Amino acid sequence: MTALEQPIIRNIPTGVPGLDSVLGGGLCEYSFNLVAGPPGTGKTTLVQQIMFANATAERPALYFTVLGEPTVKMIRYQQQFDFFDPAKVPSVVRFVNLSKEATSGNLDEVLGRIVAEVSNIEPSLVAVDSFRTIGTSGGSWGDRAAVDLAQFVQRLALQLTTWEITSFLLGEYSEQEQRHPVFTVADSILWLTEDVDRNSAVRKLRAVKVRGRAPMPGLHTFRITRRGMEVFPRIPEQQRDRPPRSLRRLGTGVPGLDEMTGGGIPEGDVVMLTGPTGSGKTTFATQFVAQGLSQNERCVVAVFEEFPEAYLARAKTHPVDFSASIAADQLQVIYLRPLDLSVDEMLAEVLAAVHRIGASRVVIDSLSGFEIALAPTFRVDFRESLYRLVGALTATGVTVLMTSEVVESMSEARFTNERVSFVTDDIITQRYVEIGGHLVKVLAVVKMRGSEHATDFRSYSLSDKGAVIGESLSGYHGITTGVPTLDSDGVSVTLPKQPRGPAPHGP
Amino acid sequence: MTMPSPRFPDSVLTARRLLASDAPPRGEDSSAAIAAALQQTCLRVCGSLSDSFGDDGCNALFTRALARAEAQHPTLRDLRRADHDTIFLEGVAGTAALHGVVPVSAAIEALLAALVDILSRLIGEDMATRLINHEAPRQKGGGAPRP
Repeated sequence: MTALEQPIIRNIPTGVPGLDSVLGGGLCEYSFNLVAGPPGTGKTTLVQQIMFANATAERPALYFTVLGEPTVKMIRYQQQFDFFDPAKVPSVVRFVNLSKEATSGNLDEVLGRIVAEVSNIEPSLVAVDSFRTIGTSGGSWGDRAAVDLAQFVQRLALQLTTWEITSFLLGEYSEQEQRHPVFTVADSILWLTEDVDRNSAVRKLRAVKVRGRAPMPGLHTFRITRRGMEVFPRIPEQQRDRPPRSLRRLGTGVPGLDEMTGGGIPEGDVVMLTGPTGSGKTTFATQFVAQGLSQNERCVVAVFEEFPEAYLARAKTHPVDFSASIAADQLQVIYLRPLDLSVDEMLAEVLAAVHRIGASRVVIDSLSGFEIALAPTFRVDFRESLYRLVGALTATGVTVLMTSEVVESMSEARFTNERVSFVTDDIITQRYVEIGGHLVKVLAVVKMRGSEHATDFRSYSLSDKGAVIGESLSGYHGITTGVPTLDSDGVSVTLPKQPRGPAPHGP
Repeated sequence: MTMPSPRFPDSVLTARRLLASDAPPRGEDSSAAIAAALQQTCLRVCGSLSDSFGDDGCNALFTRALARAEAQHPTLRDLRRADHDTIFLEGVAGTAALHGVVPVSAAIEALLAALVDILSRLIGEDMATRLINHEAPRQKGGGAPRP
């Protein structure tokens, strides 16, 4: 058969954000699909969302309910979702109850009713919810019953495909039940689960098989809100098409820091700014955003440790009006703090914001807060999660600045958070040292990938005007011990005045 | 005991519209014809609801509606089967013949109004009206017979 003679299998968009990417483009037209998973994982919501997205007067949908959630309750609850269009019921999306036929135990009767309804309506979409109750209403099924059920499933699949119907069987199956005949016959299997870890619950979807398509492997988190289901694919589309590395440098907005970094941050880099609490990480990050806005760049800030209102209030000390920038779609501040967040969900939010406003700078403030916001299951493999996050963000060409808190004692210098520094191109580290009985803030550029940079420690000050880099501490040695001493042949350094009391900026 | 006030006042109007759609034309409205029309409406509504909710779902709705309406309309007790869990809609015409068309017409209107009100509380008035008014599609040739 030549390529021209191959049947065209049209993709049906699911209407579920993110799911088409997971399925390799969408659902195959006329496919026989199984949606499986434990109770309460969202099977009914998923299929009804697909039906309401695709059903039309010319191409209606039939939703067969069997034994399980009573239809009246199903309609009552599903109406809460935005996708449920009451105007489509029952002329476009029709609910038909099969419990009488199912309880009879006669599978021919069940099939006869389904075929009769299908021939009357000629739908393009059919769902059977819950399919598990068909043929197994007695609980278990013996050898004879298993053969009957296998034949029934095969005849049903044949009938529905012959009628050019895309169908969905929903069932509360466990992983151990995959010898059920429906698993063999199904063209695609979507597995929905809910991982419970300590106090958090994370819903996940896996495309176990999708005939005729290359589904995205792995478990993909999803969330059900009033809008319905939204899937967060593990590998966003953008990651497959990385832009070439730029030679442009971006100003940091912190006087003196561009000179230390060899002319600013290389565009498209991932910069990590580490430091102990109160060292001014957020101040630096805010100046980075302000600098971008002043250059008519667009910026996205993901905050985890404070509410956006607090963030914006503190940013008021900058000459750039952040609130006006938000109103002009030059800046978007994203607040994510649910404690059961998945990396993919956070990534989807940030990517959506980047695409929406065309951002070139992204700030994540802070990684420490981000890690806490994650569900425990994602905290366990935070490195892998961060790797995917950074890879997907940089693939869009944005420059990313992440702040990260390091816990340090006065005698021990930790330049980076070693758990996360592997994903970065550039590292700037802040720390406290004691000089002459004063706590002094110093910073150094630890790493600038493929670029010359200053290697000396420099003091910096924080004030209500922001952060300013001071003089080099090249006359000192032992800075990493936290208690530097002046070299015998060193020159005297005038350190900037440090504000008294708690730092006015920073986490 | 009085029948609780409906939360959805339009339920009475909906019930009247349902009955009107089956009512015999003037000149042919004998007691027997009216009784048959009352029964036809009840069976039609039951058929529509059974289609979506199954026989058990439909019966549950009618049984509760009966419980609400029968205090003011004792003639409805004739429609309650001996097991008290199911309703005997095929007996509407016989009940009308026994008690008279006028009181049974009022009773059936109250029964249907209670049914619409109950279903509206559960799934909303608009959805309830849609499903009650929806007629199951007629069978095309070749399909398996409907039960």
